[in-house]
Amino acid sequence: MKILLIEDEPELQKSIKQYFEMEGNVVELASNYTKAQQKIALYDYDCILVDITLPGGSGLDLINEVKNQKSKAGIIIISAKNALDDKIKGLDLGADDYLPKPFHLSELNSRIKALIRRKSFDGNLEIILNEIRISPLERTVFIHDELVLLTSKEYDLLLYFIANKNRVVSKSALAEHLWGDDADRLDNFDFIYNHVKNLRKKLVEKKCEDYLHTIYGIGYNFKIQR
Amino acid sequence: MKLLSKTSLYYVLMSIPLLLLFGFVCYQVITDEVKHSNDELLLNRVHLIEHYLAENDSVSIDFLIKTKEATITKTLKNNFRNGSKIIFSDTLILDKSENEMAPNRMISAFVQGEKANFQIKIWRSTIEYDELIEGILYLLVGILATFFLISLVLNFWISKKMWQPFYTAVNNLEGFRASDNRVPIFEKSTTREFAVLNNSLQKMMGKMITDYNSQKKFTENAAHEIQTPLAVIKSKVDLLIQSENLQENEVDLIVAIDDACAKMSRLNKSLLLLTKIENRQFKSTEMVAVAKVVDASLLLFEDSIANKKINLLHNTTIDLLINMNSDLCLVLINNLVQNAIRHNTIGGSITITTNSNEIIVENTGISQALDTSLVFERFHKSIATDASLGLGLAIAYEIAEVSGLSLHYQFVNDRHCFVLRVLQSQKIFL
Repeated sequence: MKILLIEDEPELQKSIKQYFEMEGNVVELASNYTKAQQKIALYDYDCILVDITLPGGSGLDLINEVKNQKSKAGIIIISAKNALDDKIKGLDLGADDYLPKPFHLSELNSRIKALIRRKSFDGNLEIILNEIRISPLERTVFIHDELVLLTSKEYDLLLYFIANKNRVVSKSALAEHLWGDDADRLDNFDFIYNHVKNLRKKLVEKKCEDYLHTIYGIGYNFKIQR
Repeated sequence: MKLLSKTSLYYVLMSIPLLLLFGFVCYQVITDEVKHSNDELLLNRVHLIEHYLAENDSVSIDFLIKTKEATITKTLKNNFRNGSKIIFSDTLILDKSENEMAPNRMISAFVQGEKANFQIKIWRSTIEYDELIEGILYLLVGILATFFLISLVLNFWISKKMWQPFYTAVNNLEGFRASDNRVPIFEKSTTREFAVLNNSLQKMMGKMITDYNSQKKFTENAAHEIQTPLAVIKSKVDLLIQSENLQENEVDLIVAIDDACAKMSRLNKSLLLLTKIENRQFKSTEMVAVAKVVDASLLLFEDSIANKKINLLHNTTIDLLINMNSDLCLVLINNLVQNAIRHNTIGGSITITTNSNEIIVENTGISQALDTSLVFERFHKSIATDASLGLGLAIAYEIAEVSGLSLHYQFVNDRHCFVLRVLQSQKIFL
C-alpha cells in the first residue's frame, strides 16, 4: 500500500513512517504545501494523510486538489485543531475520515484499513485470515466457516486486532477505540481485560488458534505466523 | 424601579406636602385679608353712624334700624368690661329670607353721643365672603395642581430626553459580548458627563475585544501547539512497545508515560472544550430528544454500570426536547451520567427521570450533601479520584448556561440529584 503523509512535524513523520513500513507499506513524506502539491500531481496513492495547518497553505486546499484530479486515494485528515468546522469542511470537501491529534498509531492503522476496505469493492470484501472470516457489512465472524456470536465490543476488538496484527496494541489505544473521547475516564482497562478474555474464549471454543498474546502491563499482540 | 419612575415618584412625594403647605398658607392669608377688609367696612359704618348721631340725622339712623342693618341703643356704659370700645365677633343671625341661621360678622361699639352713650351693633352676612374665599381657593388649588401636573410631565419628558444617552449606554453594556467582536454605537451627547461615560465605555469595550481575541488566539494556539508534541510522545510510546523483550521496570516506565500523556491530552481537550463553549463557538442548534441521548450514554457506560452492580432506572414520561447543539447535549448528558456512576457505591442505584420540562439524575453515594458552591467549580474534586479531572461538572454547567438550561444540585433523601431544567427563554424559542 502506498501512503502519502503530509505533515510538518518531523518526529511524527518518523513515527508514522516507521510504523507503517513495518508492514511493508510505502510511506512518502511531504512537509509543506508545495511539496505535497507536487506529489499529489505526480503520483498515485492508496491513502493520503493530511494535516490541516501546513507551512505554505491549508490542508483543506490540498484535499480539493486531490479531488480535482479524480484520484481514488482515500483521505484522512490528521489535525491538531480539533475544530468542528474544520472537520465538517474537510469531510464536505471529500475527505474520508478525521482523526484529531494526538492519536495512537494503531488507531490510525485501523482507520486506514477500514478506509481501504470501504473504497475497494464497496466494503463488500471479506477479511480472511487463516481460519477466521469476517464479513464487515454484516458484522459477522466465522471460524472454520462456523458462525461465532460476538458482542459489538468484542467484534470491534477483533477487527482492531486484525488490522494491527503482529503489533503490540496498548490498552489505552483499545480503550480509546471502544469508548472514543470518553476513554480512560473510568476503569476501562478492567473492562477491556474482560472483553478480550471473552473474545478469546469464544474464538478458542470454535477451535481457532489462540493468536492473542498478552503483553505484560501494556496490552495485546495478535500474532499470526508469517 | 426605573430611574425615571423613581425621580417622578420622589418628585410627587416631595411636592404633595409642599403643595398642601402652600395651600394652607394661601388660605390663611386670603381669609385674613377678607376678614380684615370686612372689619374695616363694619368700622367705617360705625364711624358713619357716629357721624349721624353727632349730626342728629335721625332719618338715616331710623333707616338703618328699619332695614335691620344695625341696632343703636342708649346705654350708660361707655366701654366693655375689658376696657375696649370696639369688639368684633362672629355670630349667627336668623336670615329672614332663608329662614335659617346664617353666619354673620358683627361689630359692637360704644359711641359718645351729644346727650348719651350709645351701643352700636352692626352685622354683615359672611356668606358671600366665604363664597369668595372658596372661589379664590378653588382657583388657587386649580392653578397649583395644573402647575404641578405640568411640571411633572415636563420633568418626566426632560429627564427622559436628558437621560437618553445614559439609557443607550446601559443597553449597550447589557448587550455587550466580547465574542461579538463589535463595539456598539453610543448616542452622541452634549452633556459632558455622558460624553465622558460613553468615551470611557467605548475605550473599555475596545480593549476587552482586543484582550478577548488575543486570549482566544492564545488558548487556541496553546492547545494546538500542545497537541503536536503530545502526538509525538504518543506515537513514540506506540513504537516503543513494539520492541521485543521489554523488561518489567521498562514496561512500568512506559505505562506511566502513556498514562500521563493520556491525562494531559484529556485535560487539554477538556479545557479547549470549555473555552469553545464559553466563546459560544457551537452555534448550530437543533431539536434534541434527550431520552435517546441518555440511552446512548447508558450504553456507552454499560460496562461501568455492570461493574459497580448499579441498579439503573430510566423513567421517561414525556421526552424532553431541547433546542441546543447536539454534540454539546451528548457531552452534557455523558458528564452527568458518568458523574452519577463515578461517585456511586458498589450495588448503589441511579434513577434518571425525564419529563417534558426537566431531567433529573439521582444517584446514591456518600451520605453527605456536597458543597453547592463548589460542586460546579473547575478542578474541584470532592473525593480524590485519579481518574477524575474535576472538569466534568464544570463543563456540564457551562453547557447548560450557554444552551438556556439551568443545572443545579440538591441532596434529597440521601441521594445526590442533578436537575437539568429548561428555562423560560428556551421555551419561547420552542
